[in-house]
Amino acid sequence: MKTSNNSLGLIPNKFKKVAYGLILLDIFLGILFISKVLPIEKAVGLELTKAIFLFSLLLLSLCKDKVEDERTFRIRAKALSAAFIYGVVFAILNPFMNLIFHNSFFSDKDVFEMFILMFIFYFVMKYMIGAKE
Amino acid sequence: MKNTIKVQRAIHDLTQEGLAKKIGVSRQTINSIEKNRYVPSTALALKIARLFEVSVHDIFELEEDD
Repeated sequence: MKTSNNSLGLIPNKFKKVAYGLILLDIFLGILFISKVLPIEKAVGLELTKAIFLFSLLLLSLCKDKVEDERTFRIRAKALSAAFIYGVVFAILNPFMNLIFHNSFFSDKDVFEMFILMFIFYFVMKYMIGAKE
Repeated sequence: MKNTIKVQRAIHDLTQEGLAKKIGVSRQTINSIEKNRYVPSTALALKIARLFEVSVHDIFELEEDD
């Protein structure tokens, strides 16, 4: 009987350190771009930092916990579905919120910001469900 | 679903951490099962029963609302 839950294809826990390192590096890069120390246009720098940040969050979400078992698998599934629903609801409501607060129906959030918000929601939900169960 | 894991652990002089290591799950999972917050899979229930050398029915019992 196969009882392992590693069918998700998660990567080893040690990559969490790499992800945290990338986040720190990204913050450092962001500061350099904002303070115009690096000779790169601010908008390009901002897109680059967003891309690195998103990749770091993806890496973090794909890392195994120290002990990965059926309960963590269930928590991951619940948090992922909650984050997906949050993303869809956010996408639906965002234009209306913009209309109310910024007098424009068009969203100022790009795809990076949307995914970053979804990832942050995923991590918060994962922590909350883990603490509750 | 009720369970007697805490009692079985006491009989076998096992901590939550010790039991968790023996069956390959986290200590939090054992804690959640003991507090009836998480119902384990059939495989995990069988592993626990095998470790304590009892039947699954001796550890897990359905309640009225299950």
